[in-house]
Amino acid sequence: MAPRTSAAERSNAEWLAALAPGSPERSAAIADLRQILVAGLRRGLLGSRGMRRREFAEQAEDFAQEALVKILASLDSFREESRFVTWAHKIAIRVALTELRRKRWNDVSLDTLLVSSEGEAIPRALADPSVGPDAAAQRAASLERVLRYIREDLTDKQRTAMTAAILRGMPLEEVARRMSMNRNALYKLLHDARKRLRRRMLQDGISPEDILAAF
Amino acid sequence: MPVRSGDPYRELKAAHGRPARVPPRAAALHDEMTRLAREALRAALDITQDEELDCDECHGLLDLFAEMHADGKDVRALLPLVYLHLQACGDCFEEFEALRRIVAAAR
Repeated sequence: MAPRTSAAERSNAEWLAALAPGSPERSAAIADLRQILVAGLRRGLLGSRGMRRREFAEQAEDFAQEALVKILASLDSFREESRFVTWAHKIAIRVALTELRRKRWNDVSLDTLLVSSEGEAIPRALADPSVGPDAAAQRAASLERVLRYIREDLTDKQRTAMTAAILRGMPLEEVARRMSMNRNALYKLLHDARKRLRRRMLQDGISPEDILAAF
Repeated sequence: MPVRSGDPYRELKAAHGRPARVPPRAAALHDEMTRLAREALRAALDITQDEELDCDECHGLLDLFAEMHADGKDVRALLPLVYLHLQACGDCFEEFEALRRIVAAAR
């Protein structure tokens, strides 16, 4: 029997053959892939999210295991447009970040985000001591105009999504979960909101350079 | 206006600004409102196209995009809709950032 190809050297075809049900190499290939995914998650995510190395080491094993299940269930959808392991890492990253976002934002409700964004913004903008009175007035007027468009032209759902995702920086995944939607549908909702805003600004003949210059 | 540095990753990074604070701090409300207005304008006028990829479609091409980027190919020209989606979507950009690190390390 020929020696098994090392994990790093497997071609896409070899990965697919090794992972296929009934393959004598399947267990070894799964173990190799798990190891590759764990190393990838550590490289890809550790250090970027302020996590402790020891804490993440355990999580990475869990994420890799969950990703393996998804990967093995969706081998048919691999189109071989990239290396197999790149495709597999992509799935593992989505699994890991979905869970990390959920934990990170677990205690933040949409209500909390929305309530604190109402009312106070314009007076604070006017009171900003870091700019002169003319610039402050221009900034406030520009800000007010954009906020008016957001108030007048967007639906409640669009406004909620835009406020949470853009103003508060909540991940789309988390906004979507709180709005009982999936992330894809939320992206489409936000895309429609952006198109509405763009249309309104173009209708009003607003130059983006002029307004951006005020900030 | 979009940053044009020649490096697609740096441009995408600049498009997403600083990471959000968790949880958000009320004291930074003015900064955040300014950011909202800027982001809304930028998104509405600089990025938004009538037809865009959604997150699933972007995800389907992200492995190809990451490898082409690592190979130094002009991903803006070759996969413009993926590039556009990564400018508009912080979640997908975060996933690209992680994949980019992994692919770069494997080269």
